[in-house]
Amino acid sequence: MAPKKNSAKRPQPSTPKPSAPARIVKVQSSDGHILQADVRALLLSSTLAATIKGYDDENKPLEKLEVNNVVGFTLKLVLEWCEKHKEDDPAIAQAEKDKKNIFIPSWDRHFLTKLPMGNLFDLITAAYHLDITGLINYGCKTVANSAKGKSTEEMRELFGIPEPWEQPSTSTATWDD
Amino acid sequence: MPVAFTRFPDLVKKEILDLMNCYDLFSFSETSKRSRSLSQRSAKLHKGNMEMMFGVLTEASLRFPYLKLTYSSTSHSTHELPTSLYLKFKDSKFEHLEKYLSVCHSSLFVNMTISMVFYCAPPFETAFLTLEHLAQLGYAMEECDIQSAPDNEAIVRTLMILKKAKNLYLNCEPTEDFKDSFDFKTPFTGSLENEKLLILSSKWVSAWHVINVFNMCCEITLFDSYFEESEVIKILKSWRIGSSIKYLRLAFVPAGSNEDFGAKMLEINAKPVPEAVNEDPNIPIPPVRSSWLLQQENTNVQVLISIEQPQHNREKMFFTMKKETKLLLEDNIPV
Repeated sequence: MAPKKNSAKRPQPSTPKPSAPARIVKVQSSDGHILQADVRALLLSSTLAATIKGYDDENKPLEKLEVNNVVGFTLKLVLEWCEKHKEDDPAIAQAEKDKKNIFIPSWDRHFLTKLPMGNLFDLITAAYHLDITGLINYGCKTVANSAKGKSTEEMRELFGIPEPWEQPSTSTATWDD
Repeated sequence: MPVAFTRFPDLVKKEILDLMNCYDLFSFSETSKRSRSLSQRSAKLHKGNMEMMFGVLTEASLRFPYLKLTYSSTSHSTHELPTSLYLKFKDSKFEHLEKYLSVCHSSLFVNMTISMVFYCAPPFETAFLTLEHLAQLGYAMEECDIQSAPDNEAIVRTLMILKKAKNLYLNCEPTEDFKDSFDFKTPFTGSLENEKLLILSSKWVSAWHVINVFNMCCEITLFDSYFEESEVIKILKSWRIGSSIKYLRLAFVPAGSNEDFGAKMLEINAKPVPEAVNEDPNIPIPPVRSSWLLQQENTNVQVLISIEQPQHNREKMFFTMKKETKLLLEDNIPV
């Protein structure tokens, strides 16, 4: 079955970009996994975009990008998301973030909600380190949605917050330090 | 497996909390002192109003009280929240009401307000239980429309419970024998503070009520009222000394002619002035009626007093006292 298109609710770029031939580069995770990705997908990450631009400016051949703070499993998820969104206009994600008005398209909803919470946590953190606004938006919204309608007790369980009597009593110490 | 929320980078934590709806953010803030501290910034971003509406649904011959909560946000997308939420009445209270109210009442949500609209027809005791409960919590009551079968106690109870409601419309007649069977003075233990007070059946209202109970209200309309002319003069004399009333409309039985009433106005230093009745700019000289301008002692507040005879009832006169006036320039006064 063909994957569903993104929800109509999400604003689409006003002028579709002309499709250029894919430029594939290797990306290496912190634990040594080597993956392949289209440069257009990698440009969704401001961090990687700056690195790629550096190579291009110096006319150096880009053979392998090293991503030192993301493990292979999570990097694969990041690249899968970026590949799906490589045609997106980054300005849209920024506008959504500024307006706090985030609609998660159906593909992304399915992609993010199927992940166990631990993997979702790693994915959002990776998106933060790689500065991928759209993925941060959808990831954060997914976490916020997972808290929807939950009681205080259920929130504690979801976010790993200990009961009050298990928390340090001093004002400086916190239960997470 | 839980998400270790506090291990997220700070910006991610803020982003997640910013995206939570107010109810969820409140629940999160209750999980720990640190969570409350983390929630403060995001809570301030929530701007809006929660409106509560009490009503009664009728199905077949049964009546069910309900409380409808509607939250309208000016800061967050509204599709996130149930726009209308109906709470069930069970064991003399509405289920989960405290939960929803505590969100709006929390000191975290400094930019959220709460207001109530109360449309109530019988069963009245249920309404009272709810009203008393909500009034005790101290939320702003915006608009209250109370209807009941003839009931003297219900009139007093409603007015006292809703004395701080912004707009109060009371449609409840006194019983036929109220003059002999009910004391309408003693139960009033304080002044009402309504901005607008409209009583549809005001047979029981006297000058004493206007002077002592309604004196803090701004706009008062008393339909179906029966004042003596002497009571109207008494109200005006008392108003001159001090009162918040800016608009008062009632009906009274005149003691004599309009000229006699005018003489009494002069006695209380109310200056006769021509008032433009029709403000239509197409009419070069608008019709006028005799009115009197009365100034409050020790303040600059002036009100225009006018009387008019209703077409259908020659025995009564309508009395109007109002602050906003349209006086005529001397050149426009028809000779």
